[in-house]
Amino acid sequence: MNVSDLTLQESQEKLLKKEISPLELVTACLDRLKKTEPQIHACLTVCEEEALSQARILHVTKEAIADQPLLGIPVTLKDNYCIRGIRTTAASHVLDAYLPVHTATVWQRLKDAGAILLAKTNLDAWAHGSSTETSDYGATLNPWDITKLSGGSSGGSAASVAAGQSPLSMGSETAGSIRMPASWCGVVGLKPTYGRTSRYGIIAMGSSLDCPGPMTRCVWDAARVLNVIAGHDAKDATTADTPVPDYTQSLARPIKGLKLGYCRDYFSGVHPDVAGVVQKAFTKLKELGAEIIEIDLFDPSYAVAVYTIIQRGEVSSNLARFDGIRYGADRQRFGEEAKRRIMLGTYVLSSGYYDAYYTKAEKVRTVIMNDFARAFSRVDAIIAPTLPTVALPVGASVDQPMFGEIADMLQEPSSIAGLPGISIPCGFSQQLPVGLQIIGPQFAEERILQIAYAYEQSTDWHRQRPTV
Amino acid sequence: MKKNDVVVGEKEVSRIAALAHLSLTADEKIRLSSQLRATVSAIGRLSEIDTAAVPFPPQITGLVNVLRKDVIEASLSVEDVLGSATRTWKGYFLVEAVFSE
Repeated sequence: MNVSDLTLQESQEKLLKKEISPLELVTACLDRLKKTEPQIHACLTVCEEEALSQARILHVTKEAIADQPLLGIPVTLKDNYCIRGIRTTAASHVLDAYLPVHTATVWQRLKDAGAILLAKTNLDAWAHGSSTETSDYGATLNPWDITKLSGGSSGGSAASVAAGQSPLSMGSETAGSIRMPASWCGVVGLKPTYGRTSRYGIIAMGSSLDCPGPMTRCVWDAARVLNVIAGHDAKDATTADTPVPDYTQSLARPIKGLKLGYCRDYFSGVHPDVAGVVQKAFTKLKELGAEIIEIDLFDPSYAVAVYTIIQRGEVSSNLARFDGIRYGADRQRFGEEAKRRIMLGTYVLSSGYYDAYYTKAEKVRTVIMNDFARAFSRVDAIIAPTLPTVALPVGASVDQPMFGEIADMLQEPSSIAGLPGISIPCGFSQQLPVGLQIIGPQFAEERILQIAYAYEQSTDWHRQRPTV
Repeated sequence: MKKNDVVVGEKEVSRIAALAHLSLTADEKIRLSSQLRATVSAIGRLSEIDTAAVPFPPQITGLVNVLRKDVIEASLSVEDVLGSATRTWKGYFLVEAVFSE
């Protein structure tokens, strides 16, 4: 296996044993990045010199890692994470030359923990989408098949990890934007509970929905990263004071006796091959001792309308700050997807329509939250396919005004309710990755990571790598 | 929900664009108008759900009145604030006039 294909955990073990140096690791990742970029276009800005300078002076020891748990680990960041002085575009021409004066808390925590920034990754512009096709800089292609999409909106991040450019990339999810590309690219994508990780410094999309989270090659890595990034932030009033455990400690707990619920409605419209792969994953979970229980859940198709209204309403409000006066280019430079979402958002929040749409959607949000609370009184977690299909061909999202919201139907209910969810690879269909998602109650990241780890360790899917 | 409400014609699109401070070309208005109609129609199915007795949701994770001490903290420098602006004048942002003589 190439050095750049190692997991975060494996990379640190080799660094500790001096089998590789930090410079060799960063160089291997950069070489891989340069080799794969012409094919997949995962990155928008590459920070080669800074990464090499940092790697040259690092000494990785057991004591140093105890102090800085991600010491020496190359990272790519979705290009909606602001870093002071480093070009941050949100994949939009409006911010083509933007240099933030703030740094995202999540990145600051990763940096303080010793991570090395390699690049900023491509996304659907403003995170509006589920394909990365709406990026003003061109789509990111799937490392498993470059005629297919990587998904979105954190498509660059998912492709970056899948292609071996870095063992870790940070994405963000409003509804689906971590789990969805993780599924299509065959990597682990963790969307924490809303408020578990700070949104400060991440260019806002839906402020009651956005969640920063990691994309990795294995579940342990995601748990390790969550240790570093989770927790209260004084700069984000919506972050929780809930204590942050060591998420790696409980990973290996057996899942015998845990009750995992599935809902038939979450299989409606799912491609039969994908459904078959996911059902085999359910069988594996049963073999590991979990009890698989059929449950009723609120029809996820209603979540599309709820999410469309709330998200686009919040988008229209958040993008109002881009006035072309204090920073950024004129609003004329918004792409068509952004204009579409701003328009619908403005409409549903405008006088005469606010109650019929926005208030109605928020009330149905209450119904969805209560429905999950009822479900979690019966089961410990909910399992489902992450997506109805494997990666779609390039061009699939064009002229589809609600492509994103429809594609993410199976993740929207849990996002609306602020729940944590993880997508892990569970097999292949048509030689493309299939994702299994595990959803838990709020702040139950330990539980969903434990279930994900148990499944992952009994299979080999996470060890498969594309040949891009 | 208004009956037969999916009438998002060109006049309505112009009104929304003005509220959103978006300048749309004629082509964009036509395209966005039909897409807006389709989306509004799709989201209209929420009227099938009875929410008469349902309250507005609380903050997603139950937070209430998150405050901080009322003390002045270090903020951005003037250089930082003005550094990305396209037009400035003597420490001010330059904007289009809102009043005419």
